[in-house]
Amino acid sequence: MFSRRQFIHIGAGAAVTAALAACSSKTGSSTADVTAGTSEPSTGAPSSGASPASSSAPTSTAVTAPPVSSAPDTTTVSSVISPSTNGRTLVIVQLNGGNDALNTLVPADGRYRDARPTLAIPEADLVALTGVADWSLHPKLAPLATYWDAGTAAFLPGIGFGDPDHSHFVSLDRWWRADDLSASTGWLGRSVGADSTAPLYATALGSGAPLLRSDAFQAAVVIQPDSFAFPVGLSEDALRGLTTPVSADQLHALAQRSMLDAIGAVDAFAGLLDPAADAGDDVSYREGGLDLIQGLDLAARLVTSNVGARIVVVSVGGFDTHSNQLATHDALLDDLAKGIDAFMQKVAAAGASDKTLLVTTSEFGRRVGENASGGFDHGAGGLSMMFGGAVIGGIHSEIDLGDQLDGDVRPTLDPRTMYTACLDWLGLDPVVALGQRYDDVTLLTA
Amino acid sequence: MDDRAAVSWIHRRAGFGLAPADLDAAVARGPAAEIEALLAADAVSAAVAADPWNDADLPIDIKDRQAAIQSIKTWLDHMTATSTPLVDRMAWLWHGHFVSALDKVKIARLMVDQVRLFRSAGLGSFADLLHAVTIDPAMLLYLDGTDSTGDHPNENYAREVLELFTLGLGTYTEDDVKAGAAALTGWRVRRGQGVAEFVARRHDDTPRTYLGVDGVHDVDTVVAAIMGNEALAGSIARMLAGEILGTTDDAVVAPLAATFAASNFDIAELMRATLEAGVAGPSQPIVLGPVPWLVIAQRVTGAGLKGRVLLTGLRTAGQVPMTPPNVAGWPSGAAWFGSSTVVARATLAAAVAAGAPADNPARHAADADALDVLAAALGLPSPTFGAASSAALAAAAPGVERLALALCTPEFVIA
Repeated sequence: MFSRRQFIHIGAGAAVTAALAACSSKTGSSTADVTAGTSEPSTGAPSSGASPASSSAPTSTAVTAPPVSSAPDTTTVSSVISPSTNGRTLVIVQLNGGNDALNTLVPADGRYRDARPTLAIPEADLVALTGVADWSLHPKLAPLATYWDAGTAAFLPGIGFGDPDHSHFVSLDRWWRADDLSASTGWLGRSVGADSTAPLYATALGSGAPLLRSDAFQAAVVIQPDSFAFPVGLSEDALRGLTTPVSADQLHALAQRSMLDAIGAVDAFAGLLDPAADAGDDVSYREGGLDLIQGLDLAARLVTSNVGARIVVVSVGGFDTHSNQLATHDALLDDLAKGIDAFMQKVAAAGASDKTLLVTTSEFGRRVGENASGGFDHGAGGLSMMFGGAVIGGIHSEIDLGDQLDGDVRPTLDPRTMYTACLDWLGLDPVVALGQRYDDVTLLTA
Repeated sequence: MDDRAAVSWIHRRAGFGLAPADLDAAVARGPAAEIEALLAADAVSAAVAADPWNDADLPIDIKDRQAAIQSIKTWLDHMTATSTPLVDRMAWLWHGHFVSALDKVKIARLMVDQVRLFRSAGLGSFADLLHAVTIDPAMLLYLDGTDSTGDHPNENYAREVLELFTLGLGTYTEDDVKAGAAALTGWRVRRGQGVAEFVARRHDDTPRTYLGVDGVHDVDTVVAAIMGNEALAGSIARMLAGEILGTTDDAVVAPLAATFAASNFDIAELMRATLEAGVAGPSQPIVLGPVPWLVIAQRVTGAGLKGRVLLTGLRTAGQVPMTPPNVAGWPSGAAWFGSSTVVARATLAAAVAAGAPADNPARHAADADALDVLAAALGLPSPTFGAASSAALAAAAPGVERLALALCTPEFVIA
């Protein structure tokens, strides 16, 4: 058993064996702690605007019957698959804090408005989804309607694990480890074989990403892209000298390997940097230092460059809207929509739409009813969004506000269903990561 | 551990390292005397009184960027300069435990005031610390106590105080969270003045059952119920053992928890027992976080970073004081081997080495080829570097580059 604190506190995408984990400074307790990500977007700009009808309007709503033979062709190869074979890239955008799902994809349900007398999105402002009567988008998500109309956007309301917990850290941990608390690795990290040697193969932007934890490799972590370079006064050769011979001490050996990995990542990353950017002597009033638009811009550069990036995690914070929800959430969703739109356009311009999949995750949704601080406390069922050429457009799950779980949206779709789809699509084996397949809903084309 | 290793260990874990001459003097006194000296009441009160901030520089203004930058740099400078490091090391520890962050508090002065609380109360009674932090203005802003009223209690602080700050998961129920939230209603921060006040009409004074205790209805009774919970001593002792000893084995934590409980939750007594345990044996290696690493590097080299390299470097490393990433604080352990941290450490090391005065013993040793002298001058517990580091240091350019490289060695980064 690997305790939550052991798992979460090490986090950061570092490759660590369980034995090494015991050396970390915060271990073994049952209290949670986290290395989750951070940084919150800002700015705002209005616009609502409904989407015009179009011929390719996706069918809406609801979990349709579980497809019988949905196993795509890339699955069943073996436990360790050469991960770079299919050339596809998965980008996960983690919205830390618990995104308010109901004000993101808004249900046409009177109970929604009753529970949110001051914080419901006015009907007149909602962005319609073509072909769908019972769901609409937050006005700031108008740029994403284009992808809905093109059939390349999917929404998964009610996503979340059964028997939910209101703790950020319990919930994040379940998402990261795919609810397997005996695992020392994250669900994506453990799917990837040791042959994933490109330094930027798995890259976490904004903060470490525990879902990439692996015994076999170390994800690159880029917190501050503009200063991800070694200094003039200390050469890479000198630093590389520290790495051989490898120490017999495990923790020293990990330090040595981390140095090598960092050198490789810096070299590979150098070509992606914008020399005009300037980090500045600054203190961020956002959580963390990376904002969503910057993170997604960098993700697009990773995807469209030939650096071997196959898994990118962009962690942003600020979604824990216990108070002042309307303005805060407006700004967050504005950045999210603009960031995703810009990302998708860059990917399309590079001809990589069919090889790129973007999904959003968040540890939980928020309460159905508002609190007195103009916000929402921690809830349960949330929302994931998926964008990309392989996405089967539509709303693939449903929620029932008449059947709440103690004031929360009852989770209706296991996140491992989405994980299974993503792993299949990447050519990785869901059974390795998840112990079994969760393919009751088909979300992606093979 | 021999005395030199023990004293080095004490100061790298519970302080911010020692400059070479100070280390020699401390070794002469011996580890037992060093622990007593660190914890001596008069030294602690003198250290608390040496408040590094000047209120005139810290207006109660929202998003005063200059004040924020100055507040952080002032604290880092003080950690580097102080001759009584335990008070600030404990404040740093509590800052990473009872988390608040500038991004939401927005007023640098209130973050400074919270750090002042950790400096003054961080080695005292845990009950007093918990009570004070519960109604601390920055905490009321960070975890939404300021918006929590009897009609609509906000659960943010009520949840985290149990999950992260005191008892830990599995020791309380959702009903406890709700009861705690109700009992803590009525406190708010007076904007513009930066002080907490209690507003009776915003408070729900209904007695409730909380953690199995009846009649809980306000801050005092919430704190009393937490202090009376059997999980508290072990939870706090485990946190401190993880930070200082690098282990949370039950066999190590249990006697520390017993000492803590028997002392009526005196943090200084817990710290004393933890340090004595570490000197006696069960300490495991820890990876220094970027801030303690940087402060130790500055103290042993005599350098003091100014300007943008300091905060840019720490931000890239993933650890800027007063801006923890989330309510659980910073990651630890192998997280500090992530590539961004490795790169930033090299950048900061190069700047520190370049800023070391020529007469600093470590700088001096880096000019010559005597690596054992360099190891001693850096305050390392072991008398020499390992094979890889020795070869790399021998190959590096004498002087600044060699010193910078030494600060990046596993021997220096791992305490």
